[in-house]
Amino acid sequence: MRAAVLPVSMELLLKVRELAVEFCDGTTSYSALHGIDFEVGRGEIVGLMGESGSGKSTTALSLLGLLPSDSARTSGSVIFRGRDLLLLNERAWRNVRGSQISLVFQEPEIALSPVMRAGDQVAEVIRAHRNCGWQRCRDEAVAALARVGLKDDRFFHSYPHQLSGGQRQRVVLAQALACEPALLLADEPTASLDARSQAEFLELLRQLRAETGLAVLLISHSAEVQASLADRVVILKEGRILEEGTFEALYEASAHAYTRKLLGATRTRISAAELGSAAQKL
Amino acid sequence: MSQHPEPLIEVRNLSKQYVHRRALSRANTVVDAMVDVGLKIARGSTVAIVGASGSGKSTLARCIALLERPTRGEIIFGGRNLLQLSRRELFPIRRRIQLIFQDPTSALDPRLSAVELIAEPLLIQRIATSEERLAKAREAMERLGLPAASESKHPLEFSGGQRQRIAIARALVLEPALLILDEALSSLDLANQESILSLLVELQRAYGLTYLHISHDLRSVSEFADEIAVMHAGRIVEQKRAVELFANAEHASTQELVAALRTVEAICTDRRTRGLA
Repeated sequence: MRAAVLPVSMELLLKVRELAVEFCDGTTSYSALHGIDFEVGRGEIVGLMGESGSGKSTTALSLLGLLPSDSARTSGSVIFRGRDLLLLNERAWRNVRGSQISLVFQEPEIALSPVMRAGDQVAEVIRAHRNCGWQRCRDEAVAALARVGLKDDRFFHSYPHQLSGGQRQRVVLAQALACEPALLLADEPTASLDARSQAEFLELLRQLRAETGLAVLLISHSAEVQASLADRVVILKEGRILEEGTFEALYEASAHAYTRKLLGATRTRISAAELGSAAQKL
Repeated sequence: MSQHPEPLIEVRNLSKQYVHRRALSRANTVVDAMVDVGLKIARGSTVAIVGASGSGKSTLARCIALLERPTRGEIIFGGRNLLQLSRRELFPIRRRIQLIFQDPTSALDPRLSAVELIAEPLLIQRIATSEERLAKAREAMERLGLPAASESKHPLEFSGGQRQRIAIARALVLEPALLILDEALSSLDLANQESILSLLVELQRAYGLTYLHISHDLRSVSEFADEIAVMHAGRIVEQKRAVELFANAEHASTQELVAALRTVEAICTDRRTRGLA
């Protein structure tokens, strides 16, 4: 039995019910998701955690209609803004993907073309979704880059290799948010960033949520990332939801060893005092 | 941990410079990726290298793994400077130093099955007959907790954690003396990190393995490493045991790393007191 965790006043953005995904290759079949239920409210940051193979990526892909149509059988319902996404055809999906539901994942280098300037890549996304003139797209791209903290002109004109990892990830985020989606799927967004860039990126997501009501489904195996950003965390195990709750509640009191391990609760605790001397020196 | 007087491997004054020659310009950009690095790794121990990205950790790992040639310096292993050996002399030594990468997916040929992948290094090193290679590969799979029934599966049919176990099995099957883990656990969930780490500790005890663990995650190495060397701008700036590092971080970048180590407990307390629910 799951507790209802969405506050009554929160607007429901995404309602997933009995989502099941089976992969068949003709002879063998494999169930990646066994019928999961969860919700995301407007402006909520929901963390998704689980061992590799537990179904996190499958969940994210099904929310974007990106599961291979020849081998994946999906059932259940994914109600987003009143529509069941699982009933959409490819053409309808193109209106949703990138403009209503967007994705950022781990390696910005994969998402970005090395031979195009950053600003043009953001403008390209806008042009694909909004039928506006090139100049207008560029203006919106400048605004999108400013929203992610890349205000200076030079960022627009830089090639990806001229930017740091953290800046590249912000460009990818600018692309993802260019059309002001309601929901952002972030799949290990800070895994390739160093500690400082990671902290900045998470702060940026927090700000964007506060300013625009952006909702985020955050897949990250980093306990520190989930602890600092997620409003609540959903724990996946072998294609099923094991439990959900706030990070702190699960960390301190989950009855499942699986959850405690995932959240790092079984690691040796380092006391603030042990780290204190270094912090004081700064 | 055996107390051999000679370190297993010693690196002296190791430097690596990348020179960027620009067409139509006299100015070359010189990047000092690694400067004057000295390190001694005792047999059977675990040494960790930590530092921010760009600090030179991976360059060091790749040079010790003989994947890149340093600009200057020596790598002393088995009483010889590896950088002075010919390719032929180096060949049998290569199996003794193995490197595990961060991303197992790109390290494994997707067309080969698990058992073929694990037997492959033996084939390359021309060790044993093909039956013996398969037997050794199966043994390695068992040691790494990979189910025997999965031996004919291909990498993409395994989970990320299992793929990394395949990568480690590939390295172990050569019976290396030194295993270099370059952010090898960073892409794994914490449960897998924990189980693979304990497996590595067990293997270290059983086979006297030596580990060089490269990580940006000071937290995870502190439980596992005997000594931690901190790198900054290509140099080793500090080298201590974990406990001493936390208690007495001297260099500014070490202090930054330790201070950035916000424990989960501290994050939760912080959020609660700031009223961010």
